[in-house]
Amino acid sequence: MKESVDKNLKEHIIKVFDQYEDSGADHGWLELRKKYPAKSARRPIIWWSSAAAILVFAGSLFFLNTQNQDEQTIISKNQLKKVQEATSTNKNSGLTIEKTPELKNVNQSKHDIALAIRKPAKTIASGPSVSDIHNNAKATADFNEPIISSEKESGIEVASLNILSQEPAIKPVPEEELRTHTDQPLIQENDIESNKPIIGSHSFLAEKKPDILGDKKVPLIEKNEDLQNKRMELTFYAGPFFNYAEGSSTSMNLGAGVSSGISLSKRVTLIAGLALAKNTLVFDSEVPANSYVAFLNSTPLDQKSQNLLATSSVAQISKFEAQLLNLDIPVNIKYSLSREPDKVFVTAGLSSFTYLNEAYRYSYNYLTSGSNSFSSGSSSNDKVINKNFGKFDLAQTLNLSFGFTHTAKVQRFVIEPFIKYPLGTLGSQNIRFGSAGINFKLSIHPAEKFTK
Amino acid sequence: MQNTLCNSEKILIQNCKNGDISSQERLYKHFYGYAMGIGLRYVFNREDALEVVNDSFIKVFNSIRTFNDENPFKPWLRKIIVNTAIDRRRKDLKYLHNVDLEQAEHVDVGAHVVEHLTAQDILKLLNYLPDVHRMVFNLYEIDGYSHEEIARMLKIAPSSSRTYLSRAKERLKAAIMLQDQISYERVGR
Repeated sequence: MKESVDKNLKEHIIKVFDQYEDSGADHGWLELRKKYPAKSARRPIIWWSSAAAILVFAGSLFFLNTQNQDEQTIISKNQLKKVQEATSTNKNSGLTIEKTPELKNVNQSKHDIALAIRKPAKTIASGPSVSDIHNNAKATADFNEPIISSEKESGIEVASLNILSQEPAIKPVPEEELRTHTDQPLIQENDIESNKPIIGSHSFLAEKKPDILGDKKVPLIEKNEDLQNKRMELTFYAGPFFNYAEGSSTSMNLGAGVSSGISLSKRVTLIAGLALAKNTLVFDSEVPANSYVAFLNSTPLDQKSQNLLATSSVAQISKFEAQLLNLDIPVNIKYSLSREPDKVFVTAGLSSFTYLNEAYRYSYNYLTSGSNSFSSGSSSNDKVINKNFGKFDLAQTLNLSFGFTHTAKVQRFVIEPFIKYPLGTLGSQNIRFGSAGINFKLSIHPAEKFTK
Repeated sequence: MQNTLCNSEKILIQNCKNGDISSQERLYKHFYGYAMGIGLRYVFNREDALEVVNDSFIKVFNSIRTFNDENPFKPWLRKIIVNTAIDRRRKDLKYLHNVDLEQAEHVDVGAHVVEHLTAQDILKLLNYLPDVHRMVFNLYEIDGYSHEEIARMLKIAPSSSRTYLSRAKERLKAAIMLQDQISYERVGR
């Protein structure tokens, strides 16, 4: 008797509390959110701020880089001109160095040219000891000194040195050769008396003059070309593409954007950008599970519990359409397959997305359960769920493309077929879809006009 | 095309794993009643029960990625709520362990009385019990833990658990009789 009551009490309590209903769920949820705030609420602001900061940073870099390149180009031209003038003067004077203003300039700005030769100064400094001669000899010796940093005295900017220093226009002279030349007195006693600074007919300077004084212009120009290749470039693009997803019929969409690339090496370029694209997916046969849940969640609670939690009736979605207007933030690596820069290339990278607007349209009707089967309701309903700036999907598609470049003057035209393979789900309803299409691109180097 | 309720629950859980807030809300509201039913049995008032439930759901959302979809959700949730309730009351239990064990008072209760108890009646009855008695009764009789498990959870001896259970049941029956008597007298007047 006692055990029976215990058993009854236990079973009754279990039964009562298994079916326990409480009306405070809404209040409870609000209380929970105080302790467990939604991470996603602040995400759009954070991501937008981050995106804006990245764009400002990239823009600043681009601007500074362009300005710097322009200065370098102009300065290197001035430098070249000055050196050429000095050369022509020297040629006319028959290997006699006169203290023309240009040459003075060259002597004073020893570092402008001297950086090319990396020999210890003392080798030549052991020559004649007369002060004037020594000055001239020092000028020669100065060529052998390593790079010196006080560039301002010559009025020529440091930037030009950087150009030269990457690959010396004048090659180092072997030590034996220098010694041979410096063992001979550079200037005769008579010349000292007449205060004529004459350099011997086989002097080191005479031999190296063409190299030093700029007859060989090719290396300098090559350097400039290299620099152009290393500059950032700005690309505008637009093109049609198709979205694809399991169960969705394909439809054509359009996208457009801007990207900027910076060379990492001769063949490899890092490209980042921002694109606006409209994605459309139409599901006639099978609705993605997440979209179905979103549909349930958007239904008022009473109707929901009546229609869905109870098995008496079930909503049947006959058509589901998703339209996402998104901002695509791709970060890609471009690799040139041809020797000519970017003639044929492939790219790979990842895209992140945020959504300006998401519109999900459901066409549905209710199936009411009969004794053995469901029967379809007569009326068809439409429901649209809209969301703005709802989500940020980080690195959710893998971008693969290849492209062909046609160069015309300062612009480059690119045709680039691409595919975006989904690595995860996209949008607030977590739909997995990808896209494929062709981008038509126009690339420009903003600073190109200064160098042509 | 047709998704069943069962699938919906699975998808809800899947979306919660993806961090979807609306799915978390839906899951919370769907299981709120069930969770409160457990929480209320272990603590003395609604505010405490709500805190236990919410703390439990935070644990659920934080660890839902580890939940295996193939298993039923309710037992997992129940376990979390019970553990949370025990954690919450643990400090109090330290002091309550020292309650003197009186001789159990034998009370006869008719089966028909038990069948008419509502959830509120049961909660009232449970409130007659000291904390540790209530815990042991809930853990053993309702949630199916063994005395050994209860001993580990509450850090008491298994024999104490048995004694507490016995005391709890006797007290409950006494309380039920009292309630029944009061009701009978009211009807008689």
